[in-house]
Amino acid sequence: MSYGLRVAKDGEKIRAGNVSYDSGAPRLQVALNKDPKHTGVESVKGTGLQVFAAGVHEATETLFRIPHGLRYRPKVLVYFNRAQLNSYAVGTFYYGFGAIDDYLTYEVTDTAVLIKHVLTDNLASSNYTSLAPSFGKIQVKYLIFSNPIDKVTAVNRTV
Amino acid sequence: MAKGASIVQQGVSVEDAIDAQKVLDTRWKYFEIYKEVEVSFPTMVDLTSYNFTLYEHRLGFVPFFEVFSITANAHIAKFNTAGGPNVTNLSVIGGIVSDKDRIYFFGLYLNDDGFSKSRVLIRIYNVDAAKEYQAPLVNVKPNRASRKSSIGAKVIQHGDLNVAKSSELSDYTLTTRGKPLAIQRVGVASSDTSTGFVVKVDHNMGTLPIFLAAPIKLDRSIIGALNPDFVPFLATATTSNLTFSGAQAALIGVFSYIIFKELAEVST
Repeated sequence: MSYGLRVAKDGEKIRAGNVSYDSGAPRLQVALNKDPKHTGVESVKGTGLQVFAAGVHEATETLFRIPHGLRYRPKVLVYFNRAQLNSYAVGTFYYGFGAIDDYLTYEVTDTAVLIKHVLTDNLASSNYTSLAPSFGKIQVKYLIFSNPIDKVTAVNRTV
Repeated sequence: MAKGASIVQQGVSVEDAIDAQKVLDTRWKYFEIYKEVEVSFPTMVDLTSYNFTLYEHRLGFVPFFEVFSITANAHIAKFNTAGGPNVTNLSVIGGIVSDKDRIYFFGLYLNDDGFSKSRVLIRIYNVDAAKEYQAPLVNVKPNRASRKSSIGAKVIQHGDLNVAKSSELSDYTLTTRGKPLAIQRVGVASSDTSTGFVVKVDHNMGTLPIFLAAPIKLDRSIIGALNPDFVPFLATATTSNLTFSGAQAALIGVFSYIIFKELAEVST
């Protein structure tokens, strides 16, 4: 048996189909008591990563790391904002794309959420330096949920 | 006025709280998870057409959903729109989609799709993606910000007082130390010549918005998956509106968007 809170719809009695709120229903939620915080805004700036036709075809750097302190890998939402142009991206921010992809993204590990800069030469044929320094600082708004990214959320159903 | 319950973050007056300081308001709709299920894709062959069910949800409406590949450690959101999503002929639209009864794959599979034989987690939300919705909004700055306090509310599961000091949200059915994602607005927008291939949505959140979007068929009968890893069109955002447009090509088609209430005070 579980305990919780149920609220009926206006004018209705609490029974199946008449509940407007059930605290036991699983939701995406963020813990407010974590340190470091599980939601916030940071600024990152990618550096001039390089790829070479005769050598390395992918380069990465971790720009920001947030330890999540959870027993599992959490679901995450990340938004990138280039304030000068109000350019706003979900999950991935492209400095450039095509034969060479140059972008910001995120990665969730067993211990942390990483904001990463990735430069990939898809054709393995170029010498190239990332455009990131010319873009300046990019704001990163992140939410780390207490829900696992790759497992079913623990359910505490209200009886 | 509707009756119900409102719970705010620790140290905040219920009467004075702005939306970002509320943990629960039963007038709101939350991004509830209807079902999470692990399924496997069968072996799929390049340039071959398929039509098979991944999961029958039988919700009776077209829900937001997402597909996370456990095998590839990334979200999958394939939505083929040969001829554009405004085409009503079902045979030219394919991908991983949901209608009001089931989540399924149909259409042409390409090796580049990469999910043949993959194990995936499908997360289905109890939200009708085809139905417009807008919540009341209170985001005027309060007289004072929330501060740390021992005042709050928790409902422990199973009546086990031993977990009363646990910091894990999953040990409670309700805790003011956790904030669920609440819905501010759900809408369906169409980008075409009449809009200049640009769609602008007012949100008035006072901060850069938390949002997601998925392509939806013109008649709103089927929807593609949400993809938190990437939204395939440009967006610009201010603290009051969100604008969608194309990249090097025009944005053409219909999509369903969801904007969430701000989760926490920006200053804390």
